[in-house]
Amino acid sequence: MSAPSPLKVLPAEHSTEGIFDELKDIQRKHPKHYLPLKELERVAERRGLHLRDVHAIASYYPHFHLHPPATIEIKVCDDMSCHLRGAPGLQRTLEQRFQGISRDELNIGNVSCVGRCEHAPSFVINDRYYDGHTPEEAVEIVKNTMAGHPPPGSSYRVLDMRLESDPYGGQKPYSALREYASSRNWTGLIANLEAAGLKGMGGAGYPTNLKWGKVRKLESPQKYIICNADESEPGTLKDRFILTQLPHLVIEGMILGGLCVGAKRGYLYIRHEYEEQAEILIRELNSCVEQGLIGEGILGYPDLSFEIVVFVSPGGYICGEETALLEAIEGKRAEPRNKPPFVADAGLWQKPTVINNVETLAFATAIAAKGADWWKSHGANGAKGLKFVGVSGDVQKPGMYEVPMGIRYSDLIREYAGGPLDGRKIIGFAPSGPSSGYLPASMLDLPMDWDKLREAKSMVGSAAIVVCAEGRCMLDMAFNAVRFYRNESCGKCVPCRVGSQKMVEILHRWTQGRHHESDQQIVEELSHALRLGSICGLGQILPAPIQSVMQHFREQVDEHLLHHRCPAGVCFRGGKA
Amino acid sequence: MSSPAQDPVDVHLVIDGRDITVASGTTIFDAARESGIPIPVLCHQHDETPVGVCRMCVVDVGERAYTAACIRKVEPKEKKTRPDEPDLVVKTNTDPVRAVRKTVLQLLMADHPTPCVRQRNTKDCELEKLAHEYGAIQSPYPHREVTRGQDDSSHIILVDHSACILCDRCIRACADLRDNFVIARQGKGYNADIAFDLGKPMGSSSCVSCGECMVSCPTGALTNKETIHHQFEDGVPCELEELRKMPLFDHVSGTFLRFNHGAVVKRHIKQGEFLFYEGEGGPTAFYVLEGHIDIFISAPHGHVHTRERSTALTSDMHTRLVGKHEHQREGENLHITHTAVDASMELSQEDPVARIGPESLFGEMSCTHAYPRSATARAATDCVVLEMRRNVLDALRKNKTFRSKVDKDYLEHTFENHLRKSSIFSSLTSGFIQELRQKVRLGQYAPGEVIFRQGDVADAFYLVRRGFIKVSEAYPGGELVLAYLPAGSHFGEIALLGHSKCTATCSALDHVDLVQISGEDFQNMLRLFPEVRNHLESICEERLRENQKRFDHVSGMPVDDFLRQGLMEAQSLLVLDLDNCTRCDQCVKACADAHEGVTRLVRDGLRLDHFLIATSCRHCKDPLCMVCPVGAVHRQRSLDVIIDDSCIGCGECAQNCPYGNINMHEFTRALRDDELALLGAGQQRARKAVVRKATSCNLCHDRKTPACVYACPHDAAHRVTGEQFGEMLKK
Repeated sequence: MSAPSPLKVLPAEHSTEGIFDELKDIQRKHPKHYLPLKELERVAERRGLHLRDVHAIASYYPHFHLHPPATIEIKVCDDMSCHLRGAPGLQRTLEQRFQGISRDELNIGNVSCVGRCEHAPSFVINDRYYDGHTPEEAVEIVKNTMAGHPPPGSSYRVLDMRLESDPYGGQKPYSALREYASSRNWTGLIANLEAAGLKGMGGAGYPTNLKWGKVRKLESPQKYIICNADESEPGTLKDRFILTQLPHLVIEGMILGGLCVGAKRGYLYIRHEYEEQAEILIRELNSCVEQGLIGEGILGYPDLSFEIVVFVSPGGYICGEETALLEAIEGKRAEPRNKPPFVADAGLWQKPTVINNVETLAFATAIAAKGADWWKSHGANGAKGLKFVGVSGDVQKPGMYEVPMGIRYSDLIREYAGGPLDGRKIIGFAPSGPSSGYLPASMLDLPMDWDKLREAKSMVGSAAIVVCAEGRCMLDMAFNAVRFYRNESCGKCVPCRVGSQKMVEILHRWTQGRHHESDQQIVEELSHALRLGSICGLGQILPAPIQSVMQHFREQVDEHLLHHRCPAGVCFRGGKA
Repeated sequence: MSSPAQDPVDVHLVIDGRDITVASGTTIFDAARESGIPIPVLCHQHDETPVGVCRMCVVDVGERAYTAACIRKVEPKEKKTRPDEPDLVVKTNTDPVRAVRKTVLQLLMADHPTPCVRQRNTKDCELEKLAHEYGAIQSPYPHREVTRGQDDSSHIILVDHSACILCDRCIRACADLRDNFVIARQGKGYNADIAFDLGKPMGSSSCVSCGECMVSCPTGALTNKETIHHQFEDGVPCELEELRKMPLFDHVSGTFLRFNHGAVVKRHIKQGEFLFYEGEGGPTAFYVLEGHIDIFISAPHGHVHTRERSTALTSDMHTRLVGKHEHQREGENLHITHTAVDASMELSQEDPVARIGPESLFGEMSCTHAYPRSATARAATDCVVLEMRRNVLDALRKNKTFRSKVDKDYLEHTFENHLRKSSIFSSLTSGFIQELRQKVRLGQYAPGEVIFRQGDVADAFYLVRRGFIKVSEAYPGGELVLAYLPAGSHFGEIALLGHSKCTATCSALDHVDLVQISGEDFQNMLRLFPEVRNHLESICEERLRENQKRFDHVSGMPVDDFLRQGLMEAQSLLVLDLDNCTRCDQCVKACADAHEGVTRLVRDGLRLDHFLIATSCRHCKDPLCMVCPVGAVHRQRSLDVIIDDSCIGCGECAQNCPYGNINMHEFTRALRDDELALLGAGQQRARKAVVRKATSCNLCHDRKTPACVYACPHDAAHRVTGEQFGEMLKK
């Protein structure tokens, strides 16, 4: 007879599994919303972990507080889109209006992009999200919160709209799954994806058929498929949109992928800010279970089984890096691994693993349902297929759009996003948030095509299009983007941990009119070391914003460095590094 | 993080234009090191799993970004355009590669308190050294604005967070090398640090001040606060500068050497002087710098034997030392011809002396595990030696360069003798051994690590180079330790001889070095040398027969019960009736008289009802008496221990036996000339030396009436059989 145990006994190598939920729970229930050391000791004891391991995790994720936060904790997003749409002013207003209040009671800080760029600026009060408010409205919201009546946060509801990429016209028949479960033509499915030319929509553009084909071939008693729904790059909105509008395509894609590669379990890794989407997914998953589409004996075939776990990220842009994501699921500090081994060979718990982006999986379902030819019938300017794009920044109608691949950025911005804000002239744009760097207006006629963008030293990426119009300082935008990376660097490797900070400091002094003679050479050298010497994509891509601005907006940079003036009148105002 | 285990194959790589072949799974760093191509590194050190975080060792392998040589394993290339295409082409020293390294150093130096504590104290900050090489001492980057501070709460270790480069070496040292798990990273990004437990000051954390972190630290982040002086009776403590000049101490942390100032001394030994004697305790190891040392065993080869001498009127007992050829006991191992000693050699039992020269290390086992000296060491010529304590030896053993030299020496000089130590392998030709030398694998095992389990499929034959192998069999109710195999032993042959499953579990008792001969090479040997096969087969048959008997005995019975029962199986028991016994100790005296003054009878032990059962051996499940520096203690089939003739009388087994069933006997012998020469004129009259030998009580099995029974004036001592004892109990 054994004593009842509050937690299931976990094998030693999995003793950190589920630790984030436990920590979140403790923090939520604690009257001061933090994790006292005593509680961490208890967690360590219950799980048979060393104190240092629990502390290493708890101190890593900004979501966990090791000290009591302020009663009212305000965090303003000041990344790309929010920065363009008034975040600095909003923050200044809040700081002025609420100065003099003790830090224990009210604290104003920053948060990294929360994925609400089309309604910028965003801010968070005690885990409640508010979008698109003027500074004065924000002041009212804070006042109400202080009075104990926090207004409801902004929400994203399911919209009634038809999408071209939805093969079922608004229904949820899971036809592709039914067909492949019956035919078992998994190699045919992979061939279909290859014929359609489906690439990884998370940004890397790696052919999906190769990922699936590789893992399918590997012999292993355990394999996993993971849906990466941790989009956190400034400007990126598409996964939140897809998860809201087409959750069934994503789930169907995971089941198809799981069955195709021989995985018995899938993880849907979703960023913790997407609470509404997590609820939608869980509802859809429950409905799948009821219909026998998930679980043991899928659709009555006793040999087909697959389950999906919704894993809510403990937070941080770096978790979107696929190996950091794996570390997070394993309950560790989300620090990217050295590669190789690649995730296909040694992924989650060192087992063969497929990691696909939300959009990729939804498109895989669409292709499985309607075929490669249907997919290739879409597209423009020689490119094939569809793409979800988020357009934010200086445009009339920021938002999410489903567009043909190959569409010119100029057409996209004009036809879908209503053209530039207030009739101003566009001076530059980022095709995919900070990681694509900034391209000049002269390149607006580029088609959204993987190869063409690569030639322009940029990328289609996650299609987080951020538009900058007249009156913007591109050096300031480069500084903003690099600062985002510095804030989100995990700190594992030297170039990124130290280099990102030094880069921010150098760029900050440029925007403040302080410039050393050797600076430009140093930025070149540092960029070289980051690009080639960092462990993961974050460090490798970190120099892209400043490199692109140095290349395409040279005259703006020179005005700062040589003449100590900001042509846009944005810089030289102090501001934080 | 290991990729799926696969048998290694040869992979071909080109490093800086040089063709190199290594086993797949070897890291680029190791492949380069073995070929003498230096790659700078900060976060990687010997004995730690690589993490690839400092990015100093990045190399160009033709991929989009550079790869960390320390962690990147070389694997066969999947798609080759032509068959002779290398699996990997590596460039370690191009301008762009060096530029990345220089930037990494400049970034670290921007925040480094130059010169740091380590550089100031011991001049071996690895960061500053590399920065100097790369011209990165002056960093062009802005310095850290807020210092990360110091933590001087520990009595021993000073933590300077501002010098920490987050290489994770201390973290792995604390956890992987020492099992302490105190240090980890905390925080994220540029604000990351090392932390102790839940972020406590080091002094109030669960840190046990083992010092492994500060020894592993490449910079002044973790250094020692004060110097502890280790005093030796003789010798001059070596100064840091002197040690750092010796190739032996390449890559050994200067902080460590400074902290351990005095733990290495230099001694000048005159020809004929003794360094130590066999059987002594001694916590140090020696390294020969100049001259030659004789290692020998002076104890005569033999065991203690008590004989009854009868005349017409009287009978008395006489105990003396005899060799196995004169008096052979059951269970004596006759195949052994050499004794392994605590140096890289075996001594012939016929003539147990060998000479070692410069660059030899000896006394390791005594130093690391406090075993008594297994042999005597005497200067054959005038010598200069280093004498070092355990911590210094540990540091050396962690040094891969040193270890590969030791391994090479072993294969060149000792391996052959090692193999020939047993008469079984005496017929192998030198040519064959030469061939084998290329093929064997040298492995290291940590205490407790299992080499193979009972029931595993056999795949290799092993020779023990260093440490003890615990051989145990599983029985219902627990496992029974059959033997502790010392250096010089071999195992794994039974399973390879056609009985494909391993018959026992073999694991490392302490730090063990093994030589592994693959199953294939072993079978090849058997084919070429039928004598070896025959010899081995006969031993194996015998061994298997014994195993079977033991198993038949034990089967179906929990092992504890069996061992208790083993008592009953004994041919005769010695029983004291405590009701009659007046505790006059006549029995004990009689026993002492019979055995040259050494009593083997302890009036204490297992009690059943009012009887006390004297026992010879308690058949411990895990008999630590078998951990013998010269491997002289074995189990017989009856599970009793037997002490071989090669016993040097150190007394380790007697001390380890919790029941006092092993006794030390002293005999005298004449002094040798070399010993006499060392004595002063006044002492020359004492021309006898004492010889000690261990022996276990055999209850006078070979005699009709044991002395104790004969001597008891109260009829309390009885010699009975198991059955008779049963009857006595019933009454």
